[in-house]
Amino acid sequence: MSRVLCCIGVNHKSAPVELREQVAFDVAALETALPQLRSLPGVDEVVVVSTCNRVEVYVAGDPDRAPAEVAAFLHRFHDLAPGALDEHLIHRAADDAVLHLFRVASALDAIVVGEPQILGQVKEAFFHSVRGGTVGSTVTRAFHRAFSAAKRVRTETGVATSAANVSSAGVQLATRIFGDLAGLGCVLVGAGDMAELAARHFSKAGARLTVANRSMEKAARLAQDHGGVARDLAELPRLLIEADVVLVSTAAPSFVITAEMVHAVARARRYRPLLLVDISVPRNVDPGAAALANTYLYDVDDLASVVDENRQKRLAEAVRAEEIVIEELHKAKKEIAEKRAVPLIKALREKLTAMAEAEAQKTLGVLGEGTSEKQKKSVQAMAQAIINKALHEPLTRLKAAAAADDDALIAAAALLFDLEIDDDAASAAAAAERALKEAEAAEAVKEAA
Amino acid sequence: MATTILLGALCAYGAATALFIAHMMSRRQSLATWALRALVVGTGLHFAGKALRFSSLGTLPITDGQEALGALALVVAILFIWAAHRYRVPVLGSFATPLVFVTLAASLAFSDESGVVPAALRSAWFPVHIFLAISADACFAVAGVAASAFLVQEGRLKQKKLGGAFRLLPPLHVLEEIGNRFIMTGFLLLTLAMVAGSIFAKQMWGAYWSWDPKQCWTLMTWLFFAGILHARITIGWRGRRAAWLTVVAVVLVILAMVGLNVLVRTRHGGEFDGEKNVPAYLQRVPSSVEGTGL
Repeated sequence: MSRVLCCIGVNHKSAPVELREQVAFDVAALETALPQLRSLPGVDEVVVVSTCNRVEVYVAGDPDRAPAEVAAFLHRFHDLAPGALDEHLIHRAADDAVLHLFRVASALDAIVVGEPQILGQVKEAFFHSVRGGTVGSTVTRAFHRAFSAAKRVRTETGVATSAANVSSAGVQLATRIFGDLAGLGCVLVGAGDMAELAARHFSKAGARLTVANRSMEKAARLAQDHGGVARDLAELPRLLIEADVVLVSTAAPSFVITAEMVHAVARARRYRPLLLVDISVPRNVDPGAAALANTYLYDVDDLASVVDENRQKRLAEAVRAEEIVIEELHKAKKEIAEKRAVPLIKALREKLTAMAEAEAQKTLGVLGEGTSEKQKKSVQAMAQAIINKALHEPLTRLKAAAAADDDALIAAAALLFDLEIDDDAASAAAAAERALKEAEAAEAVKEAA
Repeated sequence: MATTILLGALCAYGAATALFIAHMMSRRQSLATWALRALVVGTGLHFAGKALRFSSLGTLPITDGQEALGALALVVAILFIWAAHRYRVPVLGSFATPLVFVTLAASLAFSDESGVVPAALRSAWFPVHIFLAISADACFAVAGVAASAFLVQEGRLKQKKLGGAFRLLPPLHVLEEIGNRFIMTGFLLLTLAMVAGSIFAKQMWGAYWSWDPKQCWTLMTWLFFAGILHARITIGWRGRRAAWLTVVAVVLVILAMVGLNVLVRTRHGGEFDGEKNVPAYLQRVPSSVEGTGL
């Protein structure tokens, strides 16, 4: 039975951050969750992608049973009330799941389209499962395809550069207003990936960092990594007084900073200029704040246009990226389909080759001792040639049928020649092993550099 | 001799202007640096030329309006060079180049090297008064340019149009700091210039204050600047509003310096000893202007 890739989970589009936090897996939780997920009925392979914007379980198995089992597991594992996740869960199966994975890995499904961290996170999730032995051929192929799709999107479109520049554009912008950033008060609201990127840029420029986040634990971690201080989100109005730059990147559904909040602190700030950078989607800073004196508000689109001012071009890049992803999906499908005929073709060839060899031997036995070496070879070659000639047309048709998803012909061939087809799980496992080694080698090289 | 040196200064200013224009077009940073160097050379020669004039005249070579304008340009150039160095923004020099080039060219074209100094200007307070006044005006000019650049930058930042000129101009904060610093310094110098001027007036006209239009106008601008500084220090006024006020104040100063001499009869215009000793530049006023009752 062939396994189908399914994706079950929550992401920034389907669930609020509070819920996503509750179902997130840290590394330790993954260690215990992966084998349990693997042992669920209908689940053969599993990878868990858990970032601050998404918790998605990719499984290969029975598409009718696996999603419900995984959903039930998520509730159970995270002690959620029954049905708490139901309206927030996304379900994707087969091609839809593969496409989703491609879009996630290529950062087309990200809050900030093209952001560079997600690919690394997806890779990490995959290798975690490879190490834990919870992946097989279906997942391995899908993830490998996703990585190459992401690579193509990155190299062939400008999506990645404009996102990489979104956080550095914030710094660039601050430099245009304040000149030297050394000693400048920089408040990061939210402690996600983009906040992390921004923290790196701002701390490098010498700004004083303050991280304000709903979860103090995350805020503290980010602040510690970049030499800043952590504050509770509730303190934000007070933090605004001392801030020169405020960078907001939360997944809150509404305004975290309102125009009234900014207006209220203007006097206490002694009308110092305030740069508000809002890289959240949906926006977290009231656009009305832009009208206030000495206040400069930039959202993701504005920032991206700081870098390349041609919005039309950026849109075209995103469209091109989506096209690449679809293209890769078709390529993957074709390849996977063609590969489906491979075991059959292999078995057919082996069976007929053995037959020809046996018949050649029989003929040589009848001819007796008098035959020369050259004659023996000719007989064997003739037998092989007949098989090859006879198989040429059927094999071409079989490959085409596989690519066209025509299972009937493949089944007919198997029936006609009485063939048993073994799963190519073993070869996929070997491929995964190889991939892991490659990744580790690449990482070692990166570290050495 | 002095004229030759000043011609050299003019050439250097011309080169600096050309280099700054090239920098604006190509946005090559090295061009801005070279332009600044040319400006420094020009300013040095300009200063040397003026110093020679000073030693031959025995007093500041600012005996008429034309020379006063030239001296102002020289001080403005020095201040911009200082700011460009202090804030590490060579492009600041570009604001000074056209000004110094044009004023020096004009003052060379109309130069009057007679060496005659009106008797009234031989008081020791005259050079003090004129030096302070010109330095104050130069500071205000720099502040005005910085405030204008601030308004341009701020407007673009609000409209999120960050290409082109935005990248060439210095950061908002630097422009604001330059504006503030020069208003503060200019205000101080203006105050001292007014004190020195009153003493000079007492000597010459017999009264500290005589309701001369220039005196009144200057007092008005002084009060205006005092208001700006007060609002800034006590309420914390800054940004767009403060920049607009600065621009208005600087326009008032320019009117006080240049406009009054042309528009109304003032004893500051050079009629120090009645009608007898009219400075050279007034004698060359075109006939059409003469008809207006000057």
